[in-house]
Amino acid sequence: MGNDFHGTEDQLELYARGRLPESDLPVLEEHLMICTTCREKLDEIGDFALGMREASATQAAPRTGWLAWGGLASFFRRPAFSMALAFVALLVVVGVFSNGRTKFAPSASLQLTAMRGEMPSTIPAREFDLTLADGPREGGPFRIEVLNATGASVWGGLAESGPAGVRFKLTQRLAQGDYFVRLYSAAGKMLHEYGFRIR
Amino acid sequence: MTGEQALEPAQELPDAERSDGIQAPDWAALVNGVREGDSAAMAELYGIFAKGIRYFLLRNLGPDDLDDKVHDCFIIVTQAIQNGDLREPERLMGYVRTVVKRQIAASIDIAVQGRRTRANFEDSMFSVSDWRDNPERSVIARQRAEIARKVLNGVSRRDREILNRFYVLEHSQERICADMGLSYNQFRLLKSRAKARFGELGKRVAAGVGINLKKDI
Repeated sequence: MGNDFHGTEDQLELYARGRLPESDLPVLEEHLMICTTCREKLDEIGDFALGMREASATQAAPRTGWLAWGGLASFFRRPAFSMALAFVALLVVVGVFSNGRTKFAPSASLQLTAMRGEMPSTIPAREFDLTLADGPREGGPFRIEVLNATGASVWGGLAESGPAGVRFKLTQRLAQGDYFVRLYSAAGKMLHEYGFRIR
Repeated sequence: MTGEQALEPAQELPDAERSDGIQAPDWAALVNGVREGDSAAMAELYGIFAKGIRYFLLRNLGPDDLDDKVHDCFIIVTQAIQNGDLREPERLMGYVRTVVKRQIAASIDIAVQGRRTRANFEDSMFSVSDWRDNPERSVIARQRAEIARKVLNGVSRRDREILNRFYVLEHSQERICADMGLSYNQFRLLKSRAKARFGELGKRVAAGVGINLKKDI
């Protein structure tokens, strides 16, 4: 069989999901190398499948909670529990007004590596002592940029290298969320990107 | 077998789609041209590398040093052709695929070695982000999930379950059709409509027309 036949929708879908049988791979891949239409279709299929997974992942958690709440709703409508609930609500209101906002620890330490895997996490703090463990052990200073999950820069500064990697103090309060640290060489080239999460 | 199943064109579909093929180049003539140093043949081959091979390398290795990797593959293939190592010119793309796969494997190997030794920091594979996520990708992923959520909110609960079973739980279409009493065409139609809606909303976002991602359909 030549390279001039488009893959079927099913084949492309299986390929995008990494499920195409090994025996079908050569024909489809050789065709993909010369067919823009199939490449675009493959990208669309991949995007859609990813979107479905991401949407389901974010929807699953709240739905479970809501269903559980719905099942308990009649239980909580009983007067004794309504009173208890009101008391708990009062405690929450008092708690919120006494604190006003998120509690920030004075400082937090975090060691980052640019390896794929779970994001290391820490608590909200006023400043962070960060070590980029697989950063260069000599040279520098290196420029550091910290971005939040929307890509907005939240902090920038310089860092020195040492035997443990690149260390710096991030003197900025960070609330809950995902953050990214970018390490640049003196020439401005991005060397590494690290991620961490504040819970 | 039910009447509906008997009428399904499912088995015919692949052939029907395959009949709508493209005109692939005459590989033997192309190889011959490259072997003789014909610049038009070289340009034609490079055109394939600049798009198709680039796509493969990008998909498997990411954007780091992409142009260099494309160029390396091109050099390996043209040298093999010029040395007369390609015994079946009509199987050129099979050979190209092998070269690309080797290049991908070698790049992964270099990355693994780099991680192990942490040597030559500036020039290693670590020279750009290898974190699984970054702000740009987070934004794109969030946008994609919002669009998908909008699509899911626009379909019935049953259809949502079908999409969820296929894309998230990764059940096979045969199992889903059997469990939910669907014909293959019904299953396909649902997927195709959902994909079309996803694509339409995605294009509106890309064109800057904007959709209210937070608002349900």
